Amino acid sequence: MFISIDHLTKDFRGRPAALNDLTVDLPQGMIGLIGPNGAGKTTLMRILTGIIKPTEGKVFIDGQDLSLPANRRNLKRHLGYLPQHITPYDNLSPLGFLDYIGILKMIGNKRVRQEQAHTLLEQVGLDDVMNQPIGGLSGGMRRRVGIAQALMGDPQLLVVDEPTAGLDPEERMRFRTLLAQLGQDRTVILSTHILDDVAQTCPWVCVLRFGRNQYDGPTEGLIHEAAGHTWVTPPIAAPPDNATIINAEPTPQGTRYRIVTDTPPAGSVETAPNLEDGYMALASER
Amino acid sequence: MAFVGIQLKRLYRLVLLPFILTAGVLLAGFVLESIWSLRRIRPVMMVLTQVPVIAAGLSTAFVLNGDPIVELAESTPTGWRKVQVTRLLIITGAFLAAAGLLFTGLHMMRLWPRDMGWVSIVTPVGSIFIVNCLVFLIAVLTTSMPTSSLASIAIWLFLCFIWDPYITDPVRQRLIPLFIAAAGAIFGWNMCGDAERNVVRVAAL
Ligand SMILES: Nc1ncnc2c1ncn2[C@@H]1O[C@H](COP(=O)(O)OP(=O)(O)OP(=O)(O)O)[C@@H](O)[C@H]1O
Ligand SMILES: [Mg+2]
Repeated sequence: MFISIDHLTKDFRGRPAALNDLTVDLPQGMIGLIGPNGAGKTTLMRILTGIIKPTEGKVFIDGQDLSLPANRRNLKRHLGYLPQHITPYDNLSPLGFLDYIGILKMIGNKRVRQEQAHTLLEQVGLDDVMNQPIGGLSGGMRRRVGIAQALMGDPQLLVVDEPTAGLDPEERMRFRTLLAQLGQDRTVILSTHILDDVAQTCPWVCVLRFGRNQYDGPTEGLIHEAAGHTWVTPPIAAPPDNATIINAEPTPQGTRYRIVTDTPPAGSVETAPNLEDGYMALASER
Repeated sequence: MAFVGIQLKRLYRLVLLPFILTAGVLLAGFVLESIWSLRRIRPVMMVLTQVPVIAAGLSTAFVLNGDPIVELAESTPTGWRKVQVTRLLIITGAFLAAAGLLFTGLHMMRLWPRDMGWVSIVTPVGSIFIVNCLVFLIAVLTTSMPTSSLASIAIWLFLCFIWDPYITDPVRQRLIPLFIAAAGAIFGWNMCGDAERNVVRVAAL
């Protein structure tokens, strides 16, 4: 599945544009969508899933123009979506909820729905509780129900809005692996604030800021933004000026900072950048 | 079919409610008939026959508001409107059927207040239809359960105390508000087809 976003603008009344003339092409596979709060990630995902319409501009999915209702309807047949905020029905069990979503997705055969629901709940590690009411599950478990429902109907396009928020580390890694597997033969768009998730799973990344495209391309390329600018300082008393601090490690002699800057303090050692460094380097550029 | 079935399953308690109310009122009529005079029973029946109308409005307000997965429903080929309208039809169908039974029972026992023959069936059936159509409109407009519930009471008060006592011809009494309610429901139906509005309204709460 190939997604082409062409001069997309979305205005909400009385607000700065949530998306501002965004143009980007997204290839097949796993795509990370990152950017600060309010950058327009959720808005973009809602447009890509055919839920809301852009004010201006167009989206083409495999060449199909989403401004046509028939194409939107067609897209929704092969779509899995995990909204950022979702609270599944408390009184249903995970199995019941997935069955319900399967019906909304027009999977007519009850046996097929039940089999899919079972398999998916096993994949997200909910086999023990699949018959208990969702209301009694922990926040992370509900999140996993949300992830599993997105996968009902074996969608060709999977759009997941901050799916790993609130998951414990083990589950996060499990989920990451699951997404990476899914991304092998379909398109997965993953928005997240956890850059490590993107670094580990997404070969392609798009950075939004104020509704604009700040970077799109291979994840390697974003890391490369910080090449030659990433340093580790010796233990010092005060944080360095003119630098973006990535992290601070207290030591008995003072604090050792990892920074992105053109003017490192004396005694700093250049180090290989990671995705966080690249992201922060890009953020400090403008 | 599976779709209607699963909605029915979600609502079955509220679907049973009108039939329980009907049974209750009929039973009350049956018992009172043997101990009181018709003159004393009629006013009681006047009150009791309003209970299903109020219950219909409140149940509809409850059913049509507060669903947490509107955005998810909009991302499926089914869409939110179909869910919403199916629920409206189920709940309204149940209350209409029960109102029909209630009228039939009381009519045969000669206990229906202001009975003008079978044509009087339009009074209970019409009230429920009117209240539910308008509550649907309000629910789509406001997506608020408290507002929809209050509106359902207000519509009922209007019908019961302002409209019905003065427009006594049973057909005209119902035809005019029915027409308005149907127009309201069509308007609501149109508005409910706007996925962006549905998602944004709920997200803003
Ligand atoms: N329904 C709406 N009505 C008005 N403004 C909105 C609406 N939805 C989004 N916005 C605005 O659009 C901008 C982008 O919001 P969006 O939710 O897409 O950001 P985001 O990147 O998903 O943020 P976060 O990381 O916090 O989830 C914000 O300024 C937000 O206030
Ligand atoms: Mg968001």
